[in-house]
Formats: sequence, C-alpha cells, structure tokens
Amino acid sequence: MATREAGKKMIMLKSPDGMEFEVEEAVAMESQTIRKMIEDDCADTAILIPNINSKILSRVIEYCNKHVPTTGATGAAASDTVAPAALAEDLKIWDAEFIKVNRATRFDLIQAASYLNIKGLLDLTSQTTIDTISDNSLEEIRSFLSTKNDYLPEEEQTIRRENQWAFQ
Amino acid sequence: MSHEGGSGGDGEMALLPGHPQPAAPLEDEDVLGQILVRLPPLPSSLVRAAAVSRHWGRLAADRAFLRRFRTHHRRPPVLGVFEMRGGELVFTPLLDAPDRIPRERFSMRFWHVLGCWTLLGYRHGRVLLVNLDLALLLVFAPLAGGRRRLRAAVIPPDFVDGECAVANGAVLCAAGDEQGHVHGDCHSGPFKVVLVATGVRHPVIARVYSSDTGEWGDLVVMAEPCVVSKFPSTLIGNALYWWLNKCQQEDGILKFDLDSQTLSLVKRPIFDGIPSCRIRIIRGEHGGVGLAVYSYMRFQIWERMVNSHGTAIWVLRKTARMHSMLQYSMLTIVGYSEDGDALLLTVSFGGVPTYSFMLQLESMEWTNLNQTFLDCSYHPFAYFYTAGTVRASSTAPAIEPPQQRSTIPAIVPPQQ
Repeated sequence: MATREAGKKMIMLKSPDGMEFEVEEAVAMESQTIRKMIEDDCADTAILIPNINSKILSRVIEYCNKHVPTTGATGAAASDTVAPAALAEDLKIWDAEFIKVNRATRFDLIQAASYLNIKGLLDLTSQTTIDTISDNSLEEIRSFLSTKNDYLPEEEQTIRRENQWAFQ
Repeated sequence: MSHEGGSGGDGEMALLPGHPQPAAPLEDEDVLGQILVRLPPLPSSLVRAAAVSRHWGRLAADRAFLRRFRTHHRRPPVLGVFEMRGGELVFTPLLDAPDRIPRERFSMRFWHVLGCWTLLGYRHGRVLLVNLDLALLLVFAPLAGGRRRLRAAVIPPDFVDGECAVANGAVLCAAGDEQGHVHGDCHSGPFKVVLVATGVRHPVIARVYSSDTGEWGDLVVMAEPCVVSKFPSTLIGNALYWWLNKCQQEDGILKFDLDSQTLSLVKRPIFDGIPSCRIRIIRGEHGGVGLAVYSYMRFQIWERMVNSHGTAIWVLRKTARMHSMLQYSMLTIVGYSEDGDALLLTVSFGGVPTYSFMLQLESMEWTNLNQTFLDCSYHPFAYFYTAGTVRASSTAPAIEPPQQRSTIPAIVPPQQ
C-alpha cells in the first residue's frame, strides 16, 4: 500500500481501532521502531500499530510531522530561509503548546513514544511529567499521578526514618 | 490524512505482533521507568520516589533501572568532599537539604595510636588512604556494606623504605574505562590501587595492587627521575596522570598506562609565573589529557590532541573570563572531580579564604558553595547516590494511604 505522492514515498499506519494514516516515509521514520522495519524491508505494506488508538496516533504523527528534519520534508521551502536557532526556538514554542494535554493523554503519549521509540517525544512527555511532580510532597505526587500508596503505615514510617535526610 | 480503514487486508503488517495489551500507564514498568529515569540525579530523588508506592519502590531499587538512570544522566552530582582533618577522614556535604547527606555517614575516625594516615585520592566510590608508619593502605568504600566497606593491604617494602617513598597513589574500579561499564554500582566490586614512589635522584617506581588476587603486580620502573606533586591523579582513558613538582620537570606530566603497565613523561606547555595550585590536569572534552589553567581572571582549558601527522599538540579549547571581583583576590584550585567534570575553587582576599565555588567545566557556569574551603587539597565525592531505595515485601496487603497534612501547597491536577 506504499504509494508515491509528489515524489515522496508514503507509508500507511493503522491504529487498532481501524483508522488509517497515510504519512511520508521520512515522518514515519522519526520512530526508530518503524525506521528499523523500513530499513529491514519489512514495511512495504501498511503497518498496524497495536495498542495506540487513533487519537493518540494522530497526535504522534502531528509531532513527527513537525520534528522531521526539514530537508525533503513538507515545510522545507519555508525553513530554508530561517536560521537554525530561530527554528529551534519555534520548535520549543510548538512543543510547549503540543504538550498542553490532560494527564491521561500525556501518559498515553509516553507509552506510544516509548513503544515507537521516538526520543524527542519521549523526552518531552516524560520531562513534563517530572517537572510537574518535582518539589511536591509524596501525598501530592500520589494524588497527581493517581498512584495508590500500598505501604503499611509502619513500613512507610521506617522508610522515612531510615532516610530522614531525604524528607526534610 | 486519515480515513476509516478496511478490515486489515492483505499484506498488512503488524508492528511486533503479540505485543501485550497495555497496562494502565503508570502500572506499566516501562512508562514509569521512562518518567522516573528523568528525576534529577540528586540523592533524595529516588529515595523519595521509592516511598510513593511498592511499585515505585521496586523500580527504584531495580539494578537495570538504576543503570539506566545513571546512563541517562551521565554525570553524577558532587555530593561533597573528603579531607583528612585531625586524624579523621571528614566528609563535608556540599548539597542543600534534602540532598544533604549527613557528614557522619561517610566520615571515619582513626585511632591516633595507629600513626598518620594520608588521603591520596577518591575515585569510583572509594577513598584511598595510606599509612607509611604501618606500611598499610586502606580503601574505604563508604557506600558499600559489611566487610567490603573497608579493605586493607600491606604496602610493599620498596615503597616504604629508603629515600624513594610513596609519593602518590590512585584507586580505581577494576573495570576502569571498559566500554559499556557505568560506574555507579561497582563500589563493592573489585578495584585496583596504583602507588608511585619518586625521589630527586631515583628512578620512578610504581606497582599495581589488585583486590581480586590480593597481590601486588611487578615493579614498573622509569629511569628518568622526577618528583610527583601532592595533587591527586587524574584518570583519562586507561591511564593515570600526575602533576610533577617543578624542580626537575618543568614541562612534564607523569603518566601511568594501566594497559601496558608503563610509566612515561608527557610534555605539556609551560605556564610562566602561574603556580601549580592554579593548574589542574583534567579530562579534556574530547577524551584527551586536559589542563585547566587560571591566570589574570581567565580560565584556559587546554587539551592534548594528536594531529594528522601523528604529532601531539596542545590545543587551547576555550577561555572563560571570570568575575571582575576576582581582580583583587587570589584563586586556588582546591579540588577536581573527573566524573562531575567540575573544579572546586577557593577565593582569598588578603590571604584569608573568603568563599568557595564550583565551576562546571563544560558550561563554565559556577555555583556558590555553602561553605569556604581552605587552600589545600580536597577530594570531591561525585556519585549517583541511590542508597535508601528500599525494596519492600510484596506480600503485605494493599492499604489506603494514611491521611497526612502536607506542608507544601497542594498542586492542582489538570482538567481531565
């Protein structure tokens, strides 16, 4: 199902909920997992991406589209005249907007980025999570990340007592 | 770009078929790992994370995760410095709470009756001390437990007697700079000690002790005499480098190659009028032998490179101008951390040490320290401190979290 459109090689990505996304090969190759498949010649056809629903997959593709190296990709003409520093700054602003999603979506994006091995997206999503929980108390971290404290009270007390310096 | 697809027709390929159904995101070890690996590499990070839940605790104590954590951050923080003070090995923490590790955790007192102990160096989670009266060396691994915390060895007679006594030494993890080895959980493992002895009219001698065999290797000799300074060694690649006292070798650095077990002299530039306490052998940013040199409010970073003709040349990598306030002061390099890639500096006004700071060599950014060090030699302790990540029993029943009052204003979860 790989097709050619305006000289660019296209790849079909399928989500398990039945949506198909036609993307440029260069964009899909932002994912190291997909890149490896393409390079190993295992991806002549549509690629089914298990466990990543269409909503998340479309966001992932949106990210890859923006971050694909500009040479030979969409937007190349525009970026040729822009200085690299300005381009990096533009990407940073774009990333900041992109990551303004709810918590569940962010976790789904982490999972997708990890599975598809997209380093930039993984850094962005994971670091944003770390930034929101650092400097918070354990109770706040638990409540923010919906993590259940399954330590017995005396166990938690022991952990705190043995490492008192870290809880000051 | 997207449209409703068919039923997964012919020739369709699934990415890694059989991939298990996803767990709830934070139940997924991989996703949680991806997040927690980005916690700052400070001592309290993982200890606190481990206290969140059993799952987090298990992950924070997992060796593979800890290896990933170290590899991700690459550069360990400088936790504090070691020095000998009044017969005691003193650890002074440099980080602020909650990353301030108590002084007593890593300090150690010696009985005066046992004579004088000299601190020769710190590396890879171990401190090397020698006592020439007792012809004994001690390797103290403050993070190790049990018998591995303190190991002793007898120093061979040729390093204790006569005019040519132990001048300097170094301890290092037996893995050295082996590819793929990340120093961080090897402080309990095998190590090597290298001792060098020099004298004004004597050949330089060295020997390597291996904790694996408990024995000293063959005597390594370099005929050309030189006098090694008291400054600690620097490990670059698989070789140790020592600064020489200027009396004989104006332009030399002593090198001990751990692979070939040979001693040699490496030529260096001559810095006229700059005292040794303002120069330190450092790891160059391209992996060569480097020198950090302070002169007239400027730091120069030099590195020895081999050019296309196979000739070694010294390249000035960068120059950083320091604060103009230093114009009327004296600056001394009092410590260097290879793994932390930082210099510890003390500034004195009118001969009085007034403040100390840490200079990160990559960024040339400096941080003020919470205390002032004298102008002698300190040994920075840079390490990924991950102790205290408790592995809890998984058999205990799950319970609701106890209600506790938080001291920090609550954060507002984002709108779902």
